[in-house]
Amino acid sequence: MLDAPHMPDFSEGDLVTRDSDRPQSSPPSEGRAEAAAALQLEALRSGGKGLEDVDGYVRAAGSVADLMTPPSVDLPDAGEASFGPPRPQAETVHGVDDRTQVGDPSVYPWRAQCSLSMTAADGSGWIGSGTFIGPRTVLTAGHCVFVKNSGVPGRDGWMTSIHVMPGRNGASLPYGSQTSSTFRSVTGWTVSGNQEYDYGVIILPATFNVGWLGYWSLSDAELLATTGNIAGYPGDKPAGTMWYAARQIAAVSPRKVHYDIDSAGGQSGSAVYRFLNNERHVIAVHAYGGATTNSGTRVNNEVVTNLLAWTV
Amino acid sequence: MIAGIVHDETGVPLEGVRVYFTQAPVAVPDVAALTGADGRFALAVPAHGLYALGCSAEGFATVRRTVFVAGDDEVVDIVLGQTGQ
Repeated sequence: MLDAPHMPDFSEGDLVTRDSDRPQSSPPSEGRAEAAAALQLEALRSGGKGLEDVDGYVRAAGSVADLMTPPSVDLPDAGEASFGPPRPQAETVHGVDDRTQVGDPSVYPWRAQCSLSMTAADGSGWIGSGTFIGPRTVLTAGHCVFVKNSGVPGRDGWMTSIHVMPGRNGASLPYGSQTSSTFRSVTGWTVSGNQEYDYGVIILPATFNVGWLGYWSLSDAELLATTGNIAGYPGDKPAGTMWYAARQIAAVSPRKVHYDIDSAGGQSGSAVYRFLNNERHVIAVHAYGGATTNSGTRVNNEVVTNLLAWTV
Repeated sequence: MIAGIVHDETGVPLEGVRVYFTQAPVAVPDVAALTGADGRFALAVPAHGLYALGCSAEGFATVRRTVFVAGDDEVVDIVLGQTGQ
């Protein structure tokens, strides 16, 4: 165990970065002026429940326990004959899949989410998701910027490059794209591979005018009273399409947030965010599919400190 | 590790297929691997047990494949059928 697992770790790539002089988290920004009336309408549509207004989306009813169903397996695996029945399975989609496609990702807040195409040190390709927290800073999972414990020779280490596509909608890139090789994470992930420190950022060479979300370290009580929202780019849907879902936060620990919000491979790095009083703040970084809930790295005070230092 | 190759019904390797876990015995990173030009992929598995993979690509029907990992490595061969689009 490291003494300081939140110690920043870097991959500078070919970009010279500067430290942020902001004393606190940037407030969420849409990146351009929007009519106040539109914001008020948005709040009314959400019904004050912390949900985004997405055509066709209805938050699943019932408690987390009600939504759980036994895992389904297509056919019993031959391995069961030798090793007995498997332990309870992790599924990233729990019960009814209530994910809904975002119709127009080119508008805020969707355009502050981005599709990621990563290339690892061994040349292998991966997809993930990220969220803007500043004009040139994309928050994502640590394992989206640094591969750890892959078991494949030559793969572990910093990604060699990440292609960032904000507001992507299939083949459409409404704001274009940028490629970065400048990343940040912490030694709790890059050295120890501890899931509790699985977060990082991508520093872009130039500004994207798409806006960003704020970030906030909430108390346990505040988190447990929060509806978590996730929008990202799951691999089981048509390539490059954005999907949204939201449910109540189910459980918290000092460095993790657990929830029953449906996701799929490719959504690692999506922000789990709170929508309250017309402001959106990241409360966790989605990273793992779990047996009964999915989970993300909690935005606690240490994470905020690092994000403040990294945000440009 | 679960490694494998994804190809079409004629045996041609498929590049850029998204391969991801849909079930696992423990929490797993929610990323998806993209197959290389040779159709190959490799996903790390943190524990022994039953995993399910999803394989998705445009123009092909998504395939779900269960793999029981009892040793260090498992190798799978996955065939995607065209959707006729």
